[in-house]
Amino acid sequence: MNRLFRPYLTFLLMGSILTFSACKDDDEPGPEDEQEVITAVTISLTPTGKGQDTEATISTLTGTPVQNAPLTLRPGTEYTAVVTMTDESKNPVADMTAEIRNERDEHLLVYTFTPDAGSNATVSVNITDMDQNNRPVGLESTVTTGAGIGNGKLKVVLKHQPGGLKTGTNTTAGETDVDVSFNVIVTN
Amino acid sequence: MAMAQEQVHLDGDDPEQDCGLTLSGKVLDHDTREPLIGATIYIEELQRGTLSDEYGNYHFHHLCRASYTLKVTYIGYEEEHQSFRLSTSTVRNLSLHIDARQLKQVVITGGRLQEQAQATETLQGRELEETRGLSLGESLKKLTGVSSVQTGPTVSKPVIHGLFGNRVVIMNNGVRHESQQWGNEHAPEIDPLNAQQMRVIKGAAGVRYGSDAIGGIVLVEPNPLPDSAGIRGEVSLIGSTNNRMGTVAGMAEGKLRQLPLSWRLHTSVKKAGSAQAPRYNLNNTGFEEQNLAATLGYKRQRFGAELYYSFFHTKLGFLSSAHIGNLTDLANAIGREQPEETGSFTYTIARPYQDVTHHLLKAKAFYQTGEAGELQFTYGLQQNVRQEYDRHRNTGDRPQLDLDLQTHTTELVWEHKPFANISGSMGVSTIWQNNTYAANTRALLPYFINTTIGAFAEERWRKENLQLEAGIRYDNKSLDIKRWNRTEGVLRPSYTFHNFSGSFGALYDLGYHVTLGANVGYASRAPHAYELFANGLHNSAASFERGNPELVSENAVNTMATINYHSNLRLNGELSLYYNTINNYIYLQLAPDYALGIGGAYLQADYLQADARFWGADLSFDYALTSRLTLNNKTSLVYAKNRETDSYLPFITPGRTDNTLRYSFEDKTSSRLSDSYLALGGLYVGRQSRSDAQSDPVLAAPDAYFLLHAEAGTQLQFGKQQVELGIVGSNLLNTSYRDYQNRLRYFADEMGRMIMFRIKVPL
Repeated sequence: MNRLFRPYLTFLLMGSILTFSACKDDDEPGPEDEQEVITAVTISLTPTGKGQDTEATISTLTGTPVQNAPLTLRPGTEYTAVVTMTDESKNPVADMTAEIRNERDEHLLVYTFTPDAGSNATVSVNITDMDQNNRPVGLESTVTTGAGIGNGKLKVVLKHQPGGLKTGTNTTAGETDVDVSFNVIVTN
Repeated sequence: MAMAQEQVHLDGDDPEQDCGLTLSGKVLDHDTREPLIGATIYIEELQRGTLSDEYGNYHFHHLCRASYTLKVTYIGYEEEHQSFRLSTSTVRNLSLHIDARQLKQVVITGGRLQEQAQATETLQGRELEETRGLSLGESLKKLTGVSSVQTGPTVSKPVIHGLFGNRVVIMNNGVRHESQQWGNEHAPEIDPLNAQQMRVIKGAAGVRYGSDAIGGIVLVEPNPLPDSAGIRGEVSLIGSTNNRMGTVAGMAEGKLRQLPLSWRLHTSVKKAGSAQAPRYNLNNTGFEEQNLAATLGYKRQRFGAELYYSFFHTKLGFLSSAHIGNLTDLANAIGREQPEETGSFTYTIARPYQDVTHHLLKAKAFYQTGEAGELQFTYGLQQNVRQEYDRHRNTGDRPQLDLDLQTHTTELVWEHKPFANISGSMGVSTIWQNNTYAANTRALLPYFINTTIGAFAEERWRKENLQLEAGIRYDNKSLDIKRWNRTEGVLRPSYTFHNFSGSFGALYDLGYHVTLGANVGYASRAPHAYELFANGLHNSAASFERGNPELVSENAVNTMATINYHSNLRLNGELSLYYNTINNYIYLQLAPDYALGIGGAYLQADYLQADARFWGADLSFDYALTSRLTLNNKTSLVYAKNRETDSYLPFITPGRTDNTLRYSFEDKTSSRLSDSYLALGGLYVGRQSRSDAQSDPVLAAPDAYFLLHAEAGTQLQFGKQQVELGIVGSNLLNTSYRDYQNRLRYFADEMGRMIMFRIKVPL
């Protein structure tokens, strides 16, 4: 009798391991919190002479990038430009600029202005901040408009160039963290 | 009528019996027609026997007219029975067939006794030894019809007939391996060094282990526990050039004298640095792996139980330059001659890397239910923790992806003893699994609980040369998802899937040399939670992957025919043809329009469903040029098509053929060496011509390539101590090439020349 009973007992025992371990189901997924996401890029321009400050933000919190207002510049003017980056998904909104500044020897902002068809606008950007190795960073710059007027796009690309990839002149190396294009209007 | 009368007449007591007849002839080898000396010829009715002479001749004198049965036996040959009537003196030549069981050492295509109608391939013995040091996925590539999907040199997933991932069920020591197999860059967490054989069942085979086995099954089996008392062990050392990999593996096993208790411990540790392509270093492609497996078995005549625990841990680096931001980066990477970060050789693993731990606890018991059969119960507990560390700014030491999957599986099977030529088994199985991710990590895959209950029965009828087999299975799967949404909080969609699976096969033995097999299998796979709810960026593909909550189960009908030509002296081989129709095939398709984010443009990849068709052929054969020199060929072709749009499907295995010439040295009794061999071969992988801008929008399929490989091995005898030595060289010409099924083909070449050495010392 005992010999017959023993194997069944073993089966039973194994079954009970299953039932007791299969009943933890009270976990809830929390909000997704990926560290250091840049969701918005702001460029603020202050004329070196007299004139109006101007600022524009591109945000992707809703999915596709949206620019809050066009960047309106005057022709033939020099501006001091500052770029800030934030994570608007955090409450309060997190400033990501400081992180980039901390690792400025691995980062480079690349600016490219492309006038729209038929536009005479020209915009040039000169990076003024340097990293520890005296290579440009691009969070601060001087933006100068030419005499022509019209519309165009100012593309701002943030490159992450770790592990000695940064040379200061190589604008394709590394991983792209930010790639946005601001609508620019150069008008009197 | 007349015949019957004659029979009665002859067999009866006839007073006119002629008892002066002679039966004589030669005993020959069926294939070579060479005489066999000293074969035993025995007349069962008369209980009289004789031996063939030095010319193979035999004779019996003074036989009467009657029916006789001759039994012919010779060592190394199959026993032959011949019944006939003797009415006059007769010359009868008897040809014998080589016993394939004796041949097994030589016949590479496997045993002569085919067990099932469906095409299977087994990796074992010398061929398995030659893969020691490689990952599971890379090892299985030795088999015809099996290839792999790779992510750089470190991650390799088995592909059977063009299908992979969740469509290939992996049975690790009798337990369904449950991990995050939806990911193409997630290799199976199994130590191949602990396996004694790896068997692949090709094509839809859902009946036995789960109806989702649309592509096939990989069975990884360790050695059975020792059944004789005593303790023994084994130490293996493996080293390689190129990534300078070093592996130490040790095994100890034993059986107690007093109790029917056996045990085994197996452990292995691997470490490799960054791999080298012919022209540059593949930066950050080192890996390390630690494994431990312990088994305890108790076995009596009627009852037995086994407890098994295995631990797997790996940390593997990813090619740093494959981690990219957006499409511009991808275009830049494709445009580069070589990855932008090549670095130099190092064992250090930096971000991006994966850290994966897998625990398996198995408890198994069997009980002989009297004369009727055997009852088996298996319980498996698995925990899979996958952490992926991306390369971003300021990440601290936290992983960006941290998934925890816990799985409980049970299976109760009753295998019944043959009655009326029918044998088979039936059973029920359950899977319960819970997937979570750590707080503050990426929700690439949602929380889910999967409960699957299945029942199956399969029976096999065998009579003489014909075997028929049929099986059926039903799985009920419920999937309860918990997904966090920014605007709506926690969403709880839930699904129930009913999946059927069935198979019907026939195996016909056409006599000594040819076996025909045909099989029709049906399998149905419920979509995985990832396919339903994927939501995230895949950095190495610059693509944003999106699941589709509307997916339904995919169903496959796979027809396969196999012809096996075996037990011949020179040519042995197998050819199988298959035709697999998959309805609602789930695949990831790159969308033509981009997704825009703050980082610029990304590709979008969506999970879609379409009716698809896979077809192809596997051929493997050995041709013995001489008794020592053998040519081995393995060829496989896979084709696939989207039947709805009549277009190509992405990521399908290109055709390949591997030809090897092997020379086995003669064992000399005076020599310390035995089982020595030398082999040289070439693998040719064609270009995937069935690809276009629709199936591969990012980069066209790479060119065909040819790789030269060589193997050598021997057994050394030092007094009483035996040592097994082996050397395997791959990509000997140091060819620069890219493989279509390597996800990192956009970024870098494959590994260059690698020579792997191994030494195994039984203790």
